[in-house]
Amino acid sequence: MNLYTFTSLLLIAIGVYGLLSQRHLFKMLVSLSVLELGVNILLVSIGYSKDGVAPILTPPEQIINPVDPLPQALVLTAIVIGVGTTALMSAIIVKIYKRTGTLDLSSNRGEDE
Amino acid sequence: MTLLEYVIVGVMFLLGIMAVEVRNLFYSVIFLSALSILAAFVFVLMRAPDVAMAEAAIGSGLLTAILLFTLKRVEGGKNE
Amino acid sequence: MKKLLALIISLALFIFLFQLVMETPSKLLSERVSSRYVQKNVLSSGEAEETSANLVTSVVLSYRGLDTLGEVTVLFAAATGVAFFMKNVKERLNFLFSSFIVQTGARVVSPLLVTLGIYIFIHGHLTPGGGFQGGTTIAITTLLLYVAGGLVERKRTVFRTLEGLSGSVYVLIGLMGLAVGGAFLYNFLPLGKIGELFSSGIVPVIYVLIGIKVGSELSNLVLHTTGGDNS
Repeated sequence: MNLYTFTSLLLIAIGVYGLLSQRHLFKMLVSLSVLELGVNILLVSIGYSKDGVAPILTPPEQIINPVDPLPQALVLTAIVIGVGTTALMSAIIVKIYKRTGTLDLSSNRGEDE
Repeated sequence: MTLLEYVIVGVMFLLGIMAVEVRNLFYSVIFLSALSILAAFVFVLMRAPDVAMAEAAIGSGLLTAILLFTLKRVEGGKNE
Repeated sequence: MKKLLALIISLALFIFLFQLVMETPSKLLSERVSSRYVQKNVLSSGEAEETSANLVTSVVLSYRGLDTLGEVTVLFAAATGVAFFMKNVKERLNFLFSSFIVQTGARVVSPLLVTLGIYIFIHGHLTPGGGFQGGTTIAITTLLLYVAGGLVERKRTVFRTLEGLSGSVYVLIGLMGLAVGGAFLYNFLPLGKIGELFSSGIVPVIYVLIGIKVGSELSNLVLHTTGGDNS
């Protein structure tokens, strides 16, 4: 358990809080982005060791004690997928706005507090 | 070094809360962008330079632009 | 009331995750799956099975190449979805602040940015960076040219053609590996030595293809997000 894992858990909690408490679709999109960032930092921090070096070889000597390259590879692809899905979500939000004229979930449903 | 790490973690926590909680949607996107830049810095501290490059280019460049275009298209969103 | 409930739920989730992480024993790298990926690269330097200096590239393209093909497919599906949803949105976003200085600056800077992106994904198996980062740099160039006043409007078919072509060549290289070595995405080119530009077989070729594909894909996605006619 290092400081970065703690940070990622904080960001995950903030993202879940935003998803539950906000009623505006755009704010939910921002909360989902924060949540995704927290998950990415959590995955990389699992492979982190305190005295590790970056996983890149320099040809004459062998690498000693690198950090784990596998979570980094996973997160690298996850970030690129994340921008695609966020763009898809924002396109759907634009479509909802054109159809209903509002992005507030509570006014759509007509429920009271 | 450790003091820098604690400061970065504290600022990230504050930026996350502000990005979720602030009323103005434009400010929300900008706080998210700043959070992404700090996350790229954290990736560098965790010895993940590849991920840091991707996060800095995507999180604070493309994602901010896409969210701002969306925000302009829904006319500010009319948050309450 | 609702915010209080959300706060309680997220706090409970935080405590749960915290205890879960605390109880998980932190393994050394030598006990993990990826230690084999690191070891096979380095220790048997005479007959290394994979010779890219960047270990992340080696995992992304050599050991998990099929997963990367699936990931690029997911990105293509997302871009198709954005194009589908933005198809009927007629009005364009116009930027009034694109002055003469912004336009000239964008024209000067954009070739340098494209060169930087190409440099990043050609050297993806040697230094930090690779196809995803370089492709994103190229997409940011497209964004800059768009903000500077629509200098890329007639390039959409070029982007689409490049994207389809590079994806097809990726699958084609995989099929060639199937024909030559008996496995999909088999590394059939000569491996070379660690740290040279022409080394590690098909890895730099595939990373260049991924760079072109991601760059054109994200450029198309940005241009679709700005709306207008999606001819």
